[in-house]
Amino acid sequence: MVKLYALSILYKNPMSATTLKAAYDVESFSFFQRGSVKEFMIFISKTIVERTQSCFRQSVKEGDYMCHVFVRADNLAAVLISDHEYPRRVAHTLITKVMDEFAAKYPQSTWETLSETMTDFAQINVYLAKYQNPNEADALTKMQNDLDETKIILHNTLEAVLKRGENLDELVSKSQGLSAQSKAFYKTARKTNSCCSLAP
Amino acid sequence: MQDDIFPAAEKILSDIENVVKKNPSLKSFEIIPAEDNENKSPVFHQEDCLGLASWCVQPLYCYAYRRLFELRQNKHRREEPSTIARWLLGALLLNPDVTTFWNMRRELVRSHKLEASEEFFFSRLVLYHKPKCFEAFAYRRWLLSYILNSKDGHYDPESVESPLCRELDIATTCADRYASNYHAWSHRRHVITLRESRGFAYPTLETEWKNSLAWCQRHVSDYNVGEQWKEELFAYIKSNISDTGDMHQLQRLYDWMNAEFRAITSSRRRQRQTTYFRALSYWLEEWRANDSAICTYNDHEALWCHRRFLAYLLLRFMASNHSYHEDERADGRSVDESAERKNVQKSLTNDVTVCHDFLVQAFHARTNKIADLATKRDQHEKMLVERFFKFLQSIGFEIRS
Repeated sequence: MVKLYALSILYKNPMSATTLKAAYDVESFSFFQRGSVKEFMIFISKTIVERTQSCFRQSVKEGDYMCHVFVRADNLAAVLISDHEYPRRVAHTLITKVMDEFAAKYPQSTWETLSETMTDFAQINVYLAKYQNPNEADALTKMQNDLDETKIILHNTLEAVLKRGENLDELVSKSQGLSAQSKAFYKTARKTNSCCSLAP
Repeated sequence: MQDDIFPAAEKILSDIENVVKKNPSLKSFEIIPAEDNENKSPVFHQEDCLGLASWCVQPLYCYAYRRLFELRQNKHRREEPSTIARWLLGALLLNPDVTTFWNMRRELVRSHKLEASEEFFFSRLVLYHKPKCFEAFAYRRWLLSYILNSKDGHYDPESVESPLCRELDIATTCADRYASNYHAWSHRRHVITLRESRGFAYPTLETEWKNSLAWCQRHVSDYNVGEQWKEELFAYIKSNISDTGDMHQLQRLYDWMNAEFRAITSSRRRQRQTTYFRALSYWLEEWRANDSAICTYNDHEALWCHRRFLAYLLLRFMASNHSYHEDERADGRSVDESAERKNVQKSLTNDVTVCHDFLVQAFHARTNKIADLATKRDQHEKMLVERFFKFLQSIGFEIRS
């Protein structure tokens, strides 16, 4: 399945990352899972931005999902969560574009104090919806490779992105952004040895 | 199986039953992970969605299972049909892979203790939870033939809201929710066959064609490995992997083409011509979709395999048309020798030949272009491309003259 689940713009502080604006599409998940899935996407996006150096592009595979991340030199970052079939080049084109547009609306000086609820950037939802079909969105960029795909660093698991000594289970159990319900979901998904039980 | 009785079982079962009975627009059933009961009811019902907390799954299933098998093994025991139905509801929602339970439901439907229309609704919930459950699909097929036979002559084949459309909806949902879902696609095939044999006007093949094309564009590499499936569909495709959705479509196209060609008599040449171009338009559409999919998605073997099939189909198609024109010419000579008629035939034959040459050239040019793109971007895909060209050679695909 070719599918986008979440698109978020974050600001990378020296210590942590804060979400400036995000859009989600969790319709394909079962009803009672949606809340947890969303919490997880926020959690993963933050975690991954915090562990990506500036000026780096990464695509990280985790189970059936793929996280595409790019942190700019000015510490603005964007994360796109898709399934693993979604074309990488299109994903990175999208996050670059979204950040450019965001930076045009909100100057760099405001990022540090900006909070998600205050930010008015509805285009992000439009982008998430439009890029669900990479064919349509990518009509112009299809043939010309304006984005050098070899510069995208690929990782096969999320663990590969974590710093030495960290592990995902621990991060999840320590996280304050995840509810007890979501942690239970995570445990069940781990037990069945895949993300599939969280997948639609 | 544990021996202790789960005291809350009947209460939970009737809670579930109430939700299912009271809300005819219920869409989904799922199990919610929860480690302990916290003294709350495990049945959740929100916005047409039904959830059950995971802590009660095991004791509840054990309870229903034991009751049902006690009943089944003891022929002298009688139980209220409504009670049996309730146990079956619980057991099948949690574990739908038990044929005995489905058979017990069939018995209840046969003896008019359960309503067939409600059974469609119930099995839909099961399929939401377990989209790859063969037993549930089989049950729906049985229900379909049950209602069609019992109301024989009463159903309206022209109605837009045919029960078959609903089946296609479900097959789509299930294929969406579980990748490479062979059962969902074979259900679809069954429904389309049923459409033919029962003479339903809807769903039309045209919409089915469009829908499955759209589906394939959303699921690029959803393929199925299945010897039997393959042989049944295309004994001549020698690849191990085949795109389920695409296969399904193309088999229909192929059947349709053959049927159309057989149906037309040799005197109606013009009509043949239009049929021919119409059939070709389906091929072109498929070809275009394949082109753009390969451009967009790196390294998907299913797409290249599908392209092989397209090349093969084009060859077959040209061969069959060519021979029919030869036949025609022979016919014409024996029946009617007039120069005028001969000219008409000649121009038609030329049209077709020119058209074929164009097609083959276009296919070649396009293939070379995307092959270039693919070889450059991915090492593994390069191998796929090489294999593809080998295949072209082996089936003798080349430009004539």
